[in-house]
Amino acid sequence: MTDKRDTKRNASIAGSGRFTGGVYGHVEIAGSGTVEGDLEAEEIELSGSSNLQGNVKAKELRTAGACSIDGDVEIGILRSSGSIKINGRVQADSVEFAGAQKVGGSLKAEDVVIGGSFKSGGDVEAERIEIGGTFRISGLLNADEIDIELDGGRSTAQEIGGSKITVRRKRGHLEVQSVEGDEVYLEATEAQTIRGKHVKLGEGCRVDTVEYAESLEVSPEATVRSQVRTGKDDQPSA
Amino acid sequence: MAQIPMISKNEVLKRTGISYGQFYRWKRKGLIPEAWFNRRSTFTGQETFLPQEKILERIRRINELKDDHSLDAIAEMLSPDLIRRTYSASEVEAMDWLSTRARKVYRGLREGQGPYGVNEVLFVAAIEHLMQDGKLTSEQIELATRTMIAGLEALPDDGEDRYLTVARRSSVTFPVVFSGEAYFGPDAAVVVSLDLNEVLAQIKVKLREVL
Repeated sequence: MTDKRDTKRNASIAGSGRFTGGVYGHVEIAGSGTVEGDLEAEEIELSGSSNLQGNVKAKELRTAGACSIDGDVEIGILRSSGSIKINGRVQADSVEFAGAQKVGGSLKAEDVVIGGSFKSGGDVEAERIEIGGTFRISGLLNADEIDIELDGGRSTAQEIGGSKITVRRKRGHLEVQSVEGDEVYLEATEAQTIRGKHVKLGEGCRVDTVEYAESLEVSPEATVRSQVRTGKDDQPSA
Repeated sequence: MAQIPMISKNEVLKRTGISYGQFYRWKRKGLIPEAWFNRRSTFTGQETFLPQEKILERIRRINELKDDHSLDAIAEMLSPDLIRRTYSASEVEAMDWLSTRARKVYRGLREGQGPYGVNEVLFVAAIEHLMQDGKLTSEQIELATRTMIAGLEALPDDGEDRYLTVARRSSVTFPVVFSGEAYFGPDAAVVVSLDLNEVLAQIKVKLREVL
């Protein structure tokens, strides 16, 4: 009903307050704020503590402090420091998380950079993902390039798959059921199955089965229960 | 109905020669539907299984298309509900890349003028397939088409699997439109069966070329 070509309203809360969702230009909450219902805006800036109670759609969402979103999130650029909790799914072009983050559903983006602690209730998909810290992914971590630096206690994922997968340890370890990639380098990883074309297992890896197509290197500080070379005699069909 | 033959993801990669990177990229882009993934425990650990015929056919199609189209474009062609454009009945009748015979049958059956979704083109292409197959009489093709037109309105558009099957029991031939799996009874035989989403995928490639 409303004509969206009109100049969009802006909304801001300084101190404490609440407003109803809708379509906005710029939204800013500094202090403590609540937005009721779905929120669509060009740009959303949240600092302090805020609660968005519906779905959120914006070109850019920046948060600092404590932020919680009850619904799904569709964002161009998502930058968050401090703590953010999103109950629904996240779809974004680029995601930068620093601090503590929790996503209830899946996270899909082009580029993801995560620092701190990250938790997701669903799959995480990106073209490139960089994680420094700890994570719990209750699903598949799927990206073309996966670059992980373990820094903390225990990190877990159900499965990891992609083209180039690198896991290095600063502190802590990773537990995962399976890792599959064309180039796989792992440290401090406990896994049931690792499959890859070129696989390198570094210090602290404990793996049940490695299936590799072309090369395998295992550090003396890693243990592998069984290794199989596959694909050598197979002729790929056209 | 018998269990659909499944194939492990590992075996898919071996047989097709695609890399893990490609496989996971295609999955991200939605070229390989989530519904096909079946995780199972095997003696070597966790393994994912997929419906053999579908996944091999899908990879063949992607390989065929990927040099000329972006992955996003391919995803659009392969997914059942992405083309939202509408068509009028006369527009469909004018699609001369569909056979004249099939368009004639369609014209005889469709009284409305539209606008219709892409399924409308699917009807004609399905008629064409049934005619080429040669196992049905023209009355049976008409009945199958009517069933398909009514049936597809009842099924969700984004259904992963949609089939038009013509079965025969004793001397009665009957068409069925269904999603997923169907069982026609102990002494029924399938005369002809069309995977409508597969037909639709072919149409989308064609539509992209001609529009």
